[in-house]
Amino acid sequence: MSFTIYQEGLPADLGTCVLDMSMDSRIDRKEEMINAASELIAKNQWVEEKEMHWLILCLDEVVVNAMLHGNEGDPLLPVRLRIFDRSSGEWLICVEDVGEGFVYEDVPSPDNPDSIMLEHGRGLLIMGEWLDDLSYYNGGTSALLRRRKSIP
Amino acid sequence: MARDSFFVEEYREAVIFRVLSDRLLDAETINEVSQGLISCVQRNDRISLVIDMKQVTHMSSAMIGKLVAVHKMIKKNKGRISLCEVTDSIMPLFVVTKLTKVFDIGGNTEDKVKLYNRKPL
Repeated sequence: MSFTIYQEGLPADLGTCVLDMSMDSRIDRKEEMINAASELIAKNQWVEEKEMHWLILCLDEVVVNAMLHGNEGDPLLPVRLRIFDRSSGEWLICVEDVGEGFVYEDVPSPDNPDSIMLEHGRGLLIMGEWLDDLSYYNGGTSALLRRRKSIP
Repeated sequence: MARDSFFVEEYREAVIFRVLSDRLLDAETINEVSQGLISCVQRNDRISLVIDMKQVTHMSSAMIGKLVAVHKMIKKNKGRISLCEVTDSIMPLFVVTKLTKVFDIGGNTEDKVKLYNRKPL
């Protein structure tokens, strides 16, 4: 699968922060965070219109994971989302929860016949299909989504 | 049976479940569609279910999980399930998760119903 979990903290230089927002783990209000992020990226034309559904899907998966799995659905626990503009012609989305993190072995593999009919565990696989890189830091509590801009 | 997010047409040998929402992302819509599918399965012992997906442009892994659950229910009762008119936006999700090996995907909704009518369970 196309993601990595690092035990150490986030890299030092993530780029210029262009959005920094936090909210409680209210799954019924997740669209506020997803819309703010997707609208900013769309406005900057960092993702082509024909691929915006992928961006929205990735945002949905990573925010839901942080709220429901990372913070275990506790509506009082915060999720922080930041977007970074990188001089290398890439954008980064960083989503952080305050949970315990996770280990690689907890994520079902589609190559395992016993996993293919599970009713959960496909979000990371789907995100990894479109992103240039998907990495987790701090033992899995900080997700970093990276992709090259469509218009650098 | 109709809700904002789906419409059901029941025929002699098949049930068409037309998904009307373009975004299957929020929990409320996913639950409504999922409950609609489960209700169809529970009303028919051995269902031939055709899910018309042509409106769907966004779908989360949570909805994929619900489709897998419905697939398991139908196969347990030796029924049939097809996903028809899957859009280019969501087809890669079935490919990357290897669910193309599990689901009958593709083709026209009405053609699939005709096929099921020609070959009853």
